[in-house]
Formats: sequence, structure tokens, C-alpha cells
Amino acid sequence: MEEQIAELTSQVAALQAANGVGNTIVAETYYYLTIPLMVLIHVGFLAYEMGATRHKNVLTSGVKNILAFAFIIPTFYYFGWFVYWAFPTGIDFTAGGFGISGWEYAMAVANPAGTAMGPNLADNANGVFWGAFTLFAATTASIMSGAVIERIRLFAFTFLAIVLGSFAWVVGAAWGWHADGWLVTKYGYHDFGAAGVVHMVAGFFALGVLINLGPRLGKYNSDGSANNLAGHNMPLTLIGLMTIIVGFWGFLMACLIFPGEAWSWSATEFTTIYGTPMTLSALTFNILMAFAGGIIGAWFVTRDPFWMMSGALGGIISCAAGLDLYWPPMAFVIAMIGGCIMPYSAKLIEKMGVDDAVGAVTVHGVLGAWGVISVGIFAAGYPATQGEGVALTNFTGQLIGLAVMAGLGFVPGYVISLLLRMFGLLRVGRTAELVGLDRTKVPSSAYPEGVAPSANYDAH
Amino acid sequence: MKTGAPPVLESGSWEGVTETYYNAVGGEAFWLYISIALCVIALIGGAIHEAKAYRRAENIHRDI
Repeated sequence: MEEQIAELTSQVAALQAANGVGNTIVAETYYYLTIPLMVLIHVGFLAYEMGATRHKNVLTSGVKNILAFAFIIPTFYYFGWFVYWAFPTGIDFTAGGFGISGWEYAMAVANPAGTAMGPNLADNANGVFWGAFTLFAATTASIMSGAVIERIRLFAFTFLAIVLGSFAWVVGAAWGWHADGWLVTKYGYHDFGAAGVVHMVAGFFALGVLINLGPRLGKYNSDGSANNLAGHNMPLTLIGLMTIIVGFWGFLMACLIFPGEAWSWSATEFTTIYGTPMTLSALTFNILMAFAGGIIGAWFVTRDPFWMMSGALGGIISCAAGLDLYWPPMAFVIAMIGGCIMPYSAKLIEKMGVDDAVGAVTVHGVLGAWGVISVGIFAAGYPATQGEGVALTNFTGQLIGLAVMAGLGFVPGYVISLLLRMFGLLRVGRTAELVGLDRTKVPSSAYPEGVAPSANYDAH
Repeated sequence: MKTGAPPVLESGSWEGVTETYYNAVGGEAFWLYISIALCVIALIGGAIHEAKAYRRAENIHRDI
């Protein structure tokens, strides 16, 4: 009998161990798979931006996109990941209440010369988390990328992309997308899908750059009226936007914390990055409803396929902060409002003399802000983190978060682009802009057999 | 500057390796600094190439 009990105990222990290993491998695989899905965001941005570019500059837009992605990877390794773990409580780098932040913790998990940032049999999480965050970082650079096409210097853009992708948004994430983040613990800031942390920071960073960069030649007439500098391939742009939507499923999937691991918030259920419970099912309801609401809202106002697909993205961004909390028809309405706001916001920005070639400031900055404040309006009163007596989601907290994210984006974007402009490093040469950037600096041709503009095309 | 290479790898076996196992040429910090330097060189080289391209365009298209 005793032998049988010992045997059974041994079998139970073996099963528990095997289950633990299984859970670890599934968790690691889950985050690993979000990464190629998020690379699809960059496939999409590549298509989207090249399609929105005039054919004389198309490969330059492609190079810009590809290079930003390439430089963000090593710089996020060198210091971006460290910033996320060191900064949550502020610039004093102290440890937060949950014990997963501060200088010492960052040195343990994100020191680029340490043993946690490379092959390590005891690590089934750090690499895939770093990878997912690196793709978030690259997304911020891609957001800026479209706004500044056809006249920004490659060097300047790459430098700005590194600042945005490996520093600015990461500070926002440390403060507002981390359970120890002071915006979360003090003010109950809630931003499940990074509407503020990624989209607002990137959108307002782009705005800061655009103010110093200036418009494309031919964009504005002497009376201040704006010309439409149409891209050379709208179908490519539409396919690109739809592909970004596919990639966003990976992005939003990576916003959850898998259960059952030592680093998990819960043994049995998915949680947000803040440790609050949610499910993939809830996420699915709201992503699809937001996607649909954004498209329908934009179609209702514009009838234009470019704005409809921008509305798809804008709808998801409008709901991103509360995708874990909203009732699906509510997400539809919030997204539809975002889709309707979009064209008016873009027109207003254009009227102010800011040439945002693809509406990035509107879709990401303005709708990101709408997304952040929507949680305060429609989903106040939820505990912001785990534990007793924690801050609750509220309108004021969302407003404070909105201001912080706008500032974290706009200030470095404006200041650094101003410095680059002062040193003559921001904008391409005037002649190069007129004759075409591809002819000037790209060794290959996008359309070696030529592409003929349509008969009634008014070239600028 | 290698950091704590597992001694078992030096005996030609994976037995006992449970954590970090980097044991190749150069230390982690060495490769870190090399890669940083290469990124900086690439950025500067790109900036120089771009500036030359714009000057060349201005010289070729003086009529614009």
C-alpha cells in the first residue's frame, strides 16, 4: 500500500512537471508567433507608403521603411528594453510595488552585455518578450514614416526613428503600460492596446517633425490652399492597410500575459499587462467590431476607399485602450465615431499648413487620444491593477495620461527635428526633391519599363 | 571578456548545461561594442552618401 502511494505520488509529480514544461513551451511559442504576425504590419506599411508615394520617390519610401525597422532592432536591444524596465516609477529608477521595475531589475533582465539577453536554457520568456516589444517599437517608427515621405533625409529619418522607437514610446510604456508605471498606480491610467503609449506618442512625434520638416514642394499654393499629391498606386495602399490589420492581431495578442508561468499574473487565465483579467474571446469580439465600425464611419463621411481602410485601422486604435473592457456594440460605436472624426481632423491639420502625407497624425495621434479618453468616458471604475485598494480607471487619469503621451511624442520629435534642421540635415535637397529621390540616390529602378501617368493626371 | 562560460562545454559535452551557454569567440561585451560601432559607422556612411547624392543632383540639374 505504501509502495503504491509512493508510486502514485511520483507519477503525479512527473505529470505536474510535464504539464509545467508544456505550459512553458506553449507560452514561449505564443509570443514567438506574435512576432511574424507583427512583421506583417511592416509588410503593410511598406505597401501602404510606397503606394501613397509618387512614382519618382517610391523606392526611397521603401528604403526608409526597411531601414527604420533594421536600426530599431539593435538599438532596442542596446537600450530600449532597459528603458522599459528601469523607468516605470519615474526617472529615479526605483523599484515599484510589484517588484518588476527599477535599475537593478533592468540590469538583471535587460543588460545588453549580460547573460539574460542571449541564448540561455533557463530563459523561455525574455527573448520572445523583447522580440514582441521590438516589433512594437518598429511600429512606432513606421507610423512616423508615412507622414514624412518624399522630403525627409534618410539619415534624419533613421535617427528620429531610433529616438522614437527605442526611447520615447518606451518611456511612455514604462509609465503607462507597466503594472509599476506611475500613471497606472497613481492615476489608474488604462491603455490595454497601447492607444496612447504607441499610437499617440508616434502620432504626436510625427507632428513635431512635420512642423520643422515643412510641406512637400507643390503641396500648397501661394494663397494657402492645398493640392492633393496623389500616390501612384492606390490599390497597393489599400492592400497595405488591410495587411496592417492582419499584423495588428499579432500586436494585440502580444499585449496579453499568458497564464501559468512564474512571470504570469495568473495561474489560469490571460491577463492584461497590468495583471487585470481578460480573454482572447473578449479581445476578438471587440477587435472585429472596432474594425467594422471604423470602416463604416469613414465610408459614411467620405465614400473614399483610402479613408475606409484608414478607418479600419483608426477604428481599432479608437478602441485599443479598452479592448479588454468594452461591450462589443459599444466598441462598434466608439470606432464609428473615430472613423467619422478622421477626415475632418486630417483636413484641419492640412489647413494648418502641416503636410501629413498619409494622415498619420490623425489616425494615430488624434484617434489614439480619442481611444485613451474613451476609457475614461465609457469604462471608468475598473481596478487598474491587481490587489486591494488600487487606483480605478477614471476620466482624469486618462486625461493626464493623454497629456503625458502627447508630450512624450511631440517634444522630442519637435526638438530633435529642429536641431537637425538647424544643421541642414533634415530635408532633402530641393533639386533632388523636384527630379525625384529614386533617381538621385537609389541604385535601382522601381519600374524599369516605365509607368505612364493617366492622361488627366496633373503632375506636381 | 567571457562571462561565466559553463565549464562542462569545455569538456565537449552538453551535460549539466542549464542556463547561459555562450562559449564562442570573444565575450558578450566585445560583440556588443563591435555591433554598436558598426551601426554608428553605417549611419554616418549613409549620411555622407546622401549628401553627395544631393550635391550631384544639383550639379547635373543646374537648370532647375
